[in-house]
Amino acid sequence: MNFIFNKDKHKHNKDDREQRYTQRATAKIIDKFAIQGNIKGAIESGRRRIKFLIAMVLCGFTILIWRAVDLMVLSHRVAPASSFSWGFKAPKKIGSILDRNDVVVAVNLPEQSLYVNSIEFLSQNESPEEAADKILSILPNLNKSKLMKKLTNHKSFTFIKKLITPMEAKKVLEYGIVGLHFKPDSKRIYPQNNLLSHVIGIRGVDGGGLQGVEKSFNDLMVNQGKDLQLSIDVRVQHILRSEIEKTVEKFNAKGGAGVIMDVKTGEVLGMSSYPDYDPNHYQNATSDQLFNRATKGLYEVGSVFKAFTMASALNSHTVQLDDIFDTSTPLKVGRFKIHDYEYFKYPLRVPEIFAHSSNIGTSKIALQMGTEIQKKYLKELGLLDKVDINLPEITKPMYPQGRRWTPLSTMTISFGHGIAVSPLHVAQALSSLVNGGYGIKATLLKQTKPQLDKRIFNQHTADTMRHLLRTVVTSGTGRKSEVRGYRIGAKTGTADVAAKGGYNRNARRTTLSSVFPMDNPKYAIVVMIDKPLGIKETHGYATAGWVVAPLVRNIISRLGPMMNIIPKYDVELKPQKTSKYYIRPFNWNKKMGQVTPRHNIHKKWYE
Amino acid sequence: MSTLKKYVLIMAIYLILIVAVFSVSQYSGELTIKTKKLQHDIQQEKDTISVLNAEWAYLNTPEHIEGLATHYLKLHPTSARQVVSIKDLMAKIKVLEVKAKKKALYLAKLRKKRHVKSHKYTHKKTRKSTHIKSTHIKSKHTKTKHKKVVTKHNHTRAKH
Repeated sequence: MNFIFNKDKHKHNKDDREQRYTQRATAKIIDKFAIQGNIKGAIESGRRRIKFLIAMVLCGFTILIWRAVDLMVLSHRVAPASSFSWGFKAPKKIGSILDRNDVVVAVNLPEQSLYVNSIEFLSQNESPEEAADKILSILPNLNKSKLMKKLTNHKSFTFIKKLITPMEAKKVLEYGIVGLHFKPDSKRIYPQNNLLSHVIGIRGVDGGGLQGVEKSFNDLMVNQGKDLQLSIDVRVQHILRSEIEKTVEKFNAKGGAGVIMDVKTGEVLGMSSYPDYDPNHYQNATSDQLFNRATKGLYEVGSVFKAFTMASALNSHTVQLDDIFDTSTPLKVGRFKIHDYEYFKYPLRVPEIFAHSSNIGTSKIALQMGTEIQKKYLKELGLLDKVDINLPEITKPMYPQGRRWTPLSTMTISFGHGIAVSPLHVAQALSSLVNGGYGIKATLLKQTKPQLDKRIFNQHTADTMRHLLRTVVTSGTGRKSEVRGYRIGAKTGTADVAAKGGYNRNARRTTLSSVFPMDNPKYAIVVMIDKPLGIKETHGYATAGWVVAPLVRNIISRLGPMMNIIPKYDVELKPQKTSKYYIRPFNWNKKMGQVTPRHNIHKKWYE
Repeated sequence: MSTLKKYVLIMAIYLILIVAVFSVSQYSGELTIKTKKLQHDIQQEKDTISVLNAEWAYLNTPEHIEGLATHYLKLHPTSARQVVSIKDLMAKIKVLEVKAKKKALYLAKLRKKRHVKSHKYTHKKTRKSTHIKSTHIKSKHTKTKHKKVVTKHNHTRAKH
């Protein structure tokens, strides 16, 4: 170890000696070439400058490094997601609309809007006219002069056309015009076209709902981005719409409307108003097409109201089924006369008044019942208020206000004249008649449980009404709506169209309100055809029994199997002669004692 | 340890930490970008799915399907007569079974009767009657032909 230490010491001494020698030699050289005076000062100042420069560079680098660290570590930010899509924010999600079986009826699809950066466009040497011609070859609906202005307005953002199709966007890209860009956007598409136009409504270019559920549920779909599930079934809707369309065309009518409703949940399964429009191209629709007859149209529905009058009278114990009323002559009230379609020579029982649709008989019942009771029941049935449904297109019914509701009004309202309601009002009130007498609210949202309100009619009245509605189909004015096996109940209504100073006797509005199956009512169907014209096939008649009853028969014969309603064939077709609901035919007094029911089946339809 | 060395060590640790933090931050940044890209791709896929759903809904509109069905399949809407409950169907099957049994019994009876009759008949006229035979007869063109020989006995049975 000593040896090593000594060796190191020796080495150290040697280094010192070498250093001293070098220092001495340097001093000798300096002395030899001594720089003195001004030259020395200049070199010194040079040295200082170099030192200052190095300090500055170091300072600069330190700042740069600090900034880099600051950018990358301390204030690190990640590029936003929108930077992946042309530098724009992705369009806001708008909820879709689905039917009760999750079929898409309205959905937002990604599309693009074309815009121009004029500054960028003008920096290139392309002529605006040539560029405009190229754009017009793809989008021919644009105005050339306006387009030229947009291309040369020195602005960085001007829309050329909002929402162009992917094919159009592809063609624009192929031209490679500098300054033309696309903004990601979305467009509302209605795959079912005309089918649900009045229910869904429309959404404007700016994305706001303008009509239908698009308007009433705008907040849910736009702000919350949630999907909306309707109570509508597109299959049911198709049946309803297609049958109304056929009938309107067959009878050369002005229009038609229909509602199909679940009587226990209040769900609207189908709602149609004809003529309708395609919501994808609503700009081309006329005001008549945009008008929702099913909810906004107010019509005097005629004899359909007799069902409500009967139920009110029976529930208030004003009349019993066996009460008889004379309907053999027109009823005179002041200067007015109430007429019947046919005058029966024998007094009619209450079920016969209902089945033969006697205005005189119903007026007498209403008079016996009184205005207050009538008003009370109509109010409870929701026939004097707006329908509380999730649609903006609703109207308050029209009826005489305050003192104007005279005894004559009571009589005319009892058979559906002097009061104007929408088909949806009728469907809602009819559901209350047959669902056990409970009030119900129509809804366009899918329900899972029955939504019954407070009771309006007792069980006995509700059962009686089911029988009375059935007699209209078996022996009354609605015979043409019968589908064997489906136990349909209905009430027809033919009303003259109100004209200036009275009624137009040549124009009619035919309505049929029906329910099936009557032993356990499930669906209420109300269809109205506006101003049908008689044809050869109907012997010139254009009443509800000829126009709307076959329409409802077609609807039920298609709807029944679809909704898994099992037909019953081994039940009686008509109430037996001994039944309290037996309806005597028109010429009963001539063939007295000869009327025998053809089908002698003892099993009742309601068992 | 001298102060200089201490400073150097602290500086070294600082440097290592800076490098580590920087690399972690870079890595997380990359991952975030990757996530955003994936989210963007997912959104694009969702958009594609919504386009396909819309197209599917358009092709499945009841009007379109009805048109195709009537044109190519000659189908019509189901009528009420085609709808039967399982309960009714079972009852109907039972009725049919009973009917089939009755028919079978009746046929068996009838066959027995006929058999007895024909037996009596054949017993009397055994010598004269012959059974149906198919014989090969060679034609002029040397082709074989099947010819049914209807016997007298067959005629008589037919009359019965």
